[in-house]
Amino acid sequence: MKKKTQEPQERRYHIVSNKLGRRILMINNLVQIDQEPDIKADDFDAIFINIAHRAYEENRLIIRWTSPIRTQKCYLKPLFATTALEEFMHFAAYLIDGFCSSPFDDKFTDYIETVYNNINKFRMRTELSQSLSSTAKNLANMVKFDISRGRLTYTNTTIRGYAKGYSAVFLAWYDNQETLYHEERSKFNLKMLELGFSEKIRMIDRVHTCPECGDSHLLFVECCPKCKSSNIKQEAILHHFRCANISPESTYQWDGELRCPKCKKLLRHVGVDYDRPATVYTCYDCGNNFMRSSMRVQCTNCGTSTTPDALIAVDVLEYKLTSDGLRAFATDEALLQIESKDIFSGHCTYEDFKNTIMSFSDMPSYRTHQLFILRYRYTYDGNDENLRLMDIMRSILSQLLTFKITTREKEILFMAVVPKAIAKTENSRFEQLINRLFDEFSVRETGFTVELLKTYTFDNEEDKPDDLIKQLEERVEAEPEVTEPLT
Amino acid sequence: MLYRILDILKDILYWLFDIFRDIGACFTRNIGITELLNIYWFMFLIEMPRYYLFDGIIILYHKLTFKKRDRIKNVAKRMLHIENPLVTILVPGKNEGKHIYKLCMSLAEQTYRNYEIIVVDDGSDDDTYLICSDLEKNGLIDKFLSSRERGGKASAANFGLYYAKGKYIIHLDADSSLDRDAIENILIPFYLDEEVKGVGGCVKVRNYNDNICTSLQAIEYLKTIMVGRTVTSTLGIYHIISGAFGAFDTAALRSVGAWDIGPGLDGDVTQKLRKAGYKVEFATDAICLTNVPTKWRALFKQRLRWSRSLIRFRVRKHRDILLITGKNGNFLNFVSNAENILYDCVFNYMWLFYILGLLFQYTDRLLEILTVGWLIRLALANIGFLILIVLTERPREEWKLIRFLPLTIFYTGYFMRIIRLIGHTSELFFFKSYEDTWNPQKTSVYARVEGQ
Repeated sequence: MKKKTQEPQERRYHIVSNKLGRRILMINNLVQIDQEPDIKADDFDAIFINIAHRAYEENRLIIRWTSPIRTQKCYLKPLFATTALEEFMHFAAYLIDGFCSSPFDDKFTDYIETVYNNINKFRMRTELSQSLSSTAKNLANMVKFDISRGRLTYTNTTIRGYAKGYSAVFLAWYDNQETLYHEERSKFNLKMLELGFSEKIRMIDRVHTCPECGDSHLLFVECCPKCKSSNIKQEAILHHFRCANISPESTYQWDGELRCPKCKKLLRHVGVDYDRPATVYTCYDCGNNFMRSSMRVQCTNCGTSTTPDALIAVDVLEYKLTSDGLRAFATDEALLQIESKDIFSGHCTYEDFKNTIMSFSDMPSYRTHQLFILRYRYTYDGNDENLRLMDIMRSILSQLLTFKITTREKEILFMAVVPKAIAKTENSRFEQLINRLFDEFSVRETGFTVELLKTYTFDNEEDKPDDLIKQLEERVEAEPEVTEPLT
Repeated sequence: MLYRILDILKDILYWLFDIFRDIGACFTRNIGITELLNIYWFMFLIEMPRYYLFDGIIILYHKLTFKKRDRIKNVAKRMLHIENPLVTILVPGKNEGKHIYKLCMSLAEQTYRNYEIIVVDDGSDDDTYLICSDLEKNGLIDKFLSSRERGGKASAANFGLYYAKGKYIIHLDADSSLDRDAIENILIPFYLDEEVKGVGGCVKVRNYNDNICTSLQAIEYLKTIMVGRTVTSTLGIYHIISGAFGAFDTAALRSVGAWDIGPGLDGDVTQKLRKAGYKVEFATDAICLTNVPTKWRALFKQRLRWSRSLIRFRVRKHRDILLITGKNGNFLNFVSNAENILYDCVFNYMWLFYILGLLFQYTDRLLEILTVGWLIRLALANIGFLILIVLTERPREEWKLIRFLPLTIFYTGYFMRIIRLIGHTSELFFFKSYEDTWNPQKTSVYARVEGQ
């Protein structure tokens, strides 16, 4: 008996059928399904993860490799995991449809049917298109994932550890990466409304976010109004009626009794001998005394410390997909339409690239950031149609999620938003990384060479977007040495 | 009808002529010097020597030593600015929020800059809390302390004192405003003499132009506070640092236990300082303007409270001062208290019997006597006014008040005396000050038990 159960464990995966004839892929070990040549997408209908590593990172990896949003073979397929994993999933739990002890559990069986019913009902395309992954596509896939699970409203709930506090549904969870700024998110929501894909149902809350970075992970610290230290203590003030003495309670403490420091009489009865008309704070850092402590708000993301008045209020609304929206997403029609200039990362057309630069200057939460643009020229001596340029872009995007990439006439442009404080080091890091990836690519793709033409930095407060675009349009000859030396 | 009116007019005219004839008669043949002294002995023997002769001499001395004092004062002023100590301006009060902003603005004009403002709100039930927290947030006041329950002015002042950081405390009423150099001037006496631990400011009336009531009070304030206290201070028997504007050495104030339950706590705390062996001074040139009651009724109540505190504190609580040989015996303290009690209380009762005596003795000539008395008093009042004009630093404005002089005779001579009589009697026999709602009942109960 023991031997029999152990046997499947040695295989990395195998397929079983449940009572309704659905084939379930059992994952027994870390395996990248998309890279396995022996298994096809049609071979199984659902996935059951049967491993329980205590290491969070490994669990995340297996979820990523069987993601119903991002992998081709597992696309939209119901995904359950063993109950042993339940406590270790953290964010990834969003992608897992449920936990059960065996793949033949009724819960799992029913769920598989529900998902396929939804897929049939909305006539959803179940193939993940092979082309370049862009932000729009990722978003569309997340929406599709939700539709297949029958979640038609944006159920905004607070998510533990999610910096924006509220998830705007599918936008919230993206492989633990928060790729969207809240302006982008609200612009996406507006775009959906504009296209008629969604409608507002109700307002849920108004949350307050950091004025610098738009983050809602804020610490509210009671502090001294003068030195902003939170090393403060509150103490009651006692008023002794008899002699009008009024001082903190500690000055009355005398051998366990309350004795007036002025007239040395015992205080026996509250309301008759004395009362407590006030409480006073003492700051142990600056020695200040005050009655009203102030509130300091500390952003855990960018470290900014502000006052509650300065926080930016953001409305959290609940949206519902309309029938138009459902159809558009199910058939992937929406893909073209939601591609918006306002969504930052991913691949886009050159027009959108320019639009992003324009809209960057309107976004107040980018005040502390600057744009960093890298302009490359490539040459290829083979046939252009054979060049798998998308491959290199995809590999760069998988490393640098928040990049926007565009191509035009033998040029590739990269754009990143970098916080000003760390701009120098970050910029050179990006440059090095991209150079390395290009090097690797040119080894594979013979005849492909690339050179860095120029780097640009764009500061919201100093530069004009028009000037930058003008500079981008100009023809530039490669400089023998890079403007910013690689460190 | 017309005839009857004419008849009445004629009667009035005759009556007036009678008076003038009588007055004429008084000066010509009816009253000689001896008889004048006989009738107006109270005025000539008690009031004139103290309030006109004595004051005149002291003020003259004060004026003549001006140069010498000025020289020392300049040295003290330099010492003050070299040391530049932090001064706490303490403003306790209930429902005074509306005045605080103006006060801050007036303080911002001061020549002395190193001060902190502590406002204590004694259980206000209006917008004081909102106003003052806002002022605190905007940095106009340094500390705003507020208590949920009303505890009386003494507790509010003590509350502020506990958190005061300054070397000196300046106690201010919320509705006062100060001359530009008032803070500097009130601090200078501390540098003139190291034993000085309390300095009173010169309180004057801001709304002296409102109506007759306030104009009369303005004259009274000038006479009793500016002139009166300059005189007592010169003699070393100054006995009340006004609650509206006074400065104290913080350590000394704390050592005597600061303020006790009122009403009349300002006089009480001065007495305590004096008993502890410290000197108190009056700063004639530290001018503070304050609003006085505009209604007679309010004035009546205020003065009743003030006069009761004389009995409560000087006669009862600090009776040990009156025993020169006692533990706290000190000749100057004795003189200061005895003079105060004698002139404000004992002679007041004497005046009552004097008036009654006049009524019975000269019933037929009463009108004549009172009129002549009024004329004599008017003459004396003019001398008194001259004294105060000599002393004051703004004679041009105050000169105008002279037109109210004829009325001050009634105001100080009768109105004030009657109030004092009522006040003293009710306090002596009925302990009325312990029922005053000026102070919360919960504390007054104890004050009476303790004999404070």
